[in-house]
Amino acid sequence: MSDSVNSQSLQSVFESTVPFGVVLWIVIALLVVVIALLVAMVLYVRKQRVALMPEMAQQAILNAEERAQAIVADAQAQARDLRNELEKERTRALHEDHQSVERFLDAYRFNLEKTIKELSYGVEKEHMRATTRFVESLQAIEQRVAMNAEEAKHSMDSFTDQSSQLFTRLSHEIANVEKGIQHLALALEEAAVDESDRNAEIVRKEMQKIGQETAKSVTEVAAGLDKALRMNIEKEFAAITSELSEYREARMRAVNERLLLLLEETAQIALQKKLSLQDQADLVYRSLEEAKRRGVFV
Amino acid sequence: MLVKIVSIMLENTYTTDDLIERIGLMRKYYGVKLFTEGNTATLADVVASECEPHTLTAVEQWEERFAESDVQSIVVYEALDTVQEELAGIPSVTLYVPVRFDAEQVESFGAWFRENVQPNMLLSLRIDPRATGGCGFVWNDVYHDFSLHYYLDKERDAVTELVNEQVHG
Repeated sequence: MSDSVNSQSLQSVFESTVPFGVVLWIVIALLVVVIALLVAMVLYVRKQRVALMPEMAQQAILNAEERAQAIVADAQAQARDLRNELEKERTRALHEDHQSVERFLDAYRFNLEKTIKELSYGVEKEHMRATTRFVESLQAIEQRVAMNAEEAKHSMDSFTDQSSQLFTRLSHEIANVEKGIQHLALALEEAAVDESDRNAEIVRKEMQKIGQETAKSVTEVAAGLDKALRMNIEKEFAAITSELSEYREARMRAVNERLLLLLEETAQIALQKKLSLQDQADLVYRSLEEAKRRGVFV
Repeated sequence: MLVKIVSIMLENTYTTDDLIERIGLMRKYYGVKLFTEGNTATLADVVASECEPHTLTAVEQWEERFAESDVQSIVVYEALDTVQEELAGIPSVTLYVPVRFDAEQVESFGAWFRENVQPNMLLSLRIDPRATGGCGFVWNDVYHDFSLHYYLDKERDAVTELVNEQVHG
């Protein structure tokens, strides 16, 4: 845009200077013609001097001189007018150029301010977005922890229910087995009346063996169930504890960061207001010494 | 000769801003002294109205030292432009401080750098409230923060613990 403005101004100035050159040439040409006329007249007068009377010749020379002076004056006046006109044109063109440049600068300033405002707005927006995202992520962690705790509670309840049902079923089964064994024992005792003592003894032993094995199997199943239940509860508890710990740490980190920032801002204000120039200078020296100790200047 | 002139100038000049100002004053003074016929004006006559008394004393010391070292005024005058152009070649450090210090204090900072870092170096002083509690500086094109922020960050854990103790009882 700047280039186009400059080229327009150059063009207008160029256009305004071309006629000026032409006019100069016209003026020079007119002067040459006048001089030529004068020379011709002088030659003519000299040639005719013999024939003319001295008074007439003098008059003719005077008339010629007057005419020549009139022509020169006229040419000078025209040249002056033209020069004035050109000067006006040039001033007008310069004024227009100046206005164009001013307009361009105004537009440029406006665009620059607009861009700066947009950038500033963008930065603020980005800051807000980042803060919002941070808060949202914290809220998400909080929600996830709460949800996990709820799920864990639910699964524990469900597991406890299932275990309780299993125990009930197991007790029922044990009762049934015991009942069956009692029935079988009664039936066998009745049968044993008619059988020999040896047979009855063998049956009794078998009965005892079956009873012992059943009791052992039931105890093992119950122990396994108890172990599985315990492991599941411990696993769920560990997961919840870990989630809670992560959440607490994230929360503490955020709080501590904010705390330090706040502390720094407060201390900055306090130090600027409370410290004397000498104290400030001492702090500068202390920092420079610290930098030197840390090998920054090596 | 140029080295001698620069050395004399740096004897009592510690900041880039001061050096540029004093070179400008000397240029003006020599312009009057050397190019005005029969002129006997002193430095004070020519530049006293344009600078602090402290600065006037410094340039008067320059003139004395040039005379002691047999460096002619015209030679110094001709070297002024070159010295100003060659400023970038002088080692420098940009120091950020939280408040405006007086000229003596600034010179004292400059002397510290010459004593502890590099002789004949120049200081560019900038005021930045973020440097509260210490300072910051640019050395070898790297910014080093040794302000309150640095100290808090260094003792981050201890400070956090202390604050938490105070807050949570």
